[in-house]
Amino acid sequence: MLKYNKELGLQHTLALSFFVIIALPVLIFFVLLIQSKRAFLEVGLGLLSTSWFPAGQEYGILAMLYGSAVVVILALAIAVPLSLLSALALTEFVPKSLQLTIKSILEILAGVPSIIYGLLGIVILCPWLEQVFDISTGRTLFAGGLLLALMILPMMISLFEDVFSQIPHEFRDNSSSLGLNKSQIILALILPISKYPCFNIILLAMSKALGETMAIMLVIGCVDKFPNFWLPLSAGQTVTSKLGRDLGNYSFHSIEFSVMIAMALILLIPTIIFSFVLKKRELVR
Amino acid sequence: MFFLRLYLLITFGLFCSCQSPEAVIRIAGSSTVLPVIEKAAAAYSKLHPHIRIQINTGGSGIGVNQIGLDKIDIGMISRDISVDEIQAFPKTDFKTIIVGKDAVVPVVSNEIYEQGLIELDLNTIGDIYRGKIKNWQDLGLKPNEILVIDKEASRGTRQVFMKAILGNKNARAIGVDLVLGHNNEVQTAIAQSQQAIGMLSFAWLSPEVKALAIKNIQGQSIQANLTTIKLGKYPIVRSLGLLIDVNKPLNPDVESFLNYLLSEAGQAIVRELKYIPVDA
Repeated sequence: MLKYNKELGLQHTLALSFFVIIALPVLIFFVLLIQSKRAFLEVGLGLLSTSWFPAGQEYGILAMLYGSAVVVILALAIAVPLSLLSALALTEFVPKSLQLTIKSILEILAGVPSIIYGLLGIVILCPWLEQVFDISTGRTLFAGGLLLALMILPMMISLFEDVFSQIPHEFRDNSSSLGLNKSQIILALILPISKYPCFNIILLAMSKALGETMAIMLVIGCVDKFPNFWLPLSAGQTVTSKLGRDLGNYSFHSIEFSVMIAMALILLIPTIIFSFVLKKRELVR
Repeated sequence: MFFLRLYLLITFGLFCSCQSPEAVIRIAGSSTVLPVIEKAAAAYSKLHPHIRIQINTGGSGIGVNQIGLDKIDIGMISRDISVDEIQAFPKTDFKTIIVGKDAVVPVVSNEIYEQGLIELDLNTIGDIYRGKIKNWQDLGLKPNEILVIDKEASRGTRQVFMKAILGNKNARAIGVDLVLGHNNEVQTAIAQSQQAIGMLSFAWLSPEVKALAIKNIQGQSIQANLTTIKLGKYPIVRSLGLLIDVNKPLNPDVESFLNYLLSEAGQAIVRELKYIPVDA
């Protein structure tokens, strides 16, 4: 029998933490699977319709999935280039004295609760969109996308900056001694080296955007229909907004509850697929 | 080692402090009944300081659901409970106690009201919600797209309104542009917009949100006010109800609060908030 010393104790504590961390997502996945079983068995392909009308036994969730996809794609399209360029500016061009101040401001912004963004959306963003695009209401998928972009920006800039600043300065010095100027250094050295960490950051931002509930719920318009014309400029619905508003209205074992859990399960799928693909490519290279 | 022990002590302490408090009345449900309960609870707590009243909103659907799941003591509901809901919770025996009456009024943005649209009949409102009338110019006003505001399907206000204009409380409103929840949200949205129409509880009207009078079949225009609601002339009236589960023994604190609401003091609060008291 080994003496139970600090070494062994530490090993066991770490092993315990490890198993808890692994077990939690797996358990969540299985709970979601079990709760949504009823939806997949009873409604099945009926889920793939655009008509959500529980009173008429119609449980089509396509409108919500489409809304989530549009909002996240829009947010990433706006936020990824913006945050990449900002982070590069922060590491390569901003003087050292300002860097710490700007980083602190970013950390503060990243910690702002999402309901604040939602309220700012209703009070500032939506009326502004109504004026600019001359539409009847600013509560649209576009507003949702813009707001999400705003929410994931600080976190992304901060993380990109961490990645870029960890590249040793010797690399940059070597490159410039070979005759490369600033922009060539960025394109030929910094971006290729940090390719995989950057993709991981984008993946993190994507899953954060997919799961955002409170802010989206207030600005999206919550209309359970496929938007018709001017796609992003009409009100829509996302999975998280639907869950946030309507989940409490349905009793625990009802079919509507099960369909909602099925929606949540489907929402997990892009994140899972992308992380597996990313990990595989990272390991293969 | 010291920090590990400190951490364990704090976590353990936090877990221990999570005990259920002694006298709590948990209430949740309709956002229409909410102002009455909030004000009454504040007054009641002054009289009975040892009782805590926790109030949440979420809509009539939440009120029914949470009573069925035995999560709350009183559910607030601003419509009748449906057969499906009764069947969804076989172990619960719902009883509704009416604490007041309220009207659901169609509301329009100030700019629309000032252009002269002060009354509509139920059919026209129905057509707007069905999507058949899409522009204010079809009603004789300046050309502007109608912003049709609806509420979540489980909200009491919506079900009562839809029954009146579309004939079915669960009707699909195809022409809807925006779906909101709380009465508060509808009020904000109508005030912010210049071309909106929506449904609101009578007590939530404000200077920026104007109610339309309803033209009935004889062509008479019926404005929503205390007289027309009391006499039953206004077509869209509903009761403000509180749900309890009579299958379980009634908590004396809950009973006392319900009695307070039905007493002179409670009904004075109902009147003060522009709802109609029960005896009227």
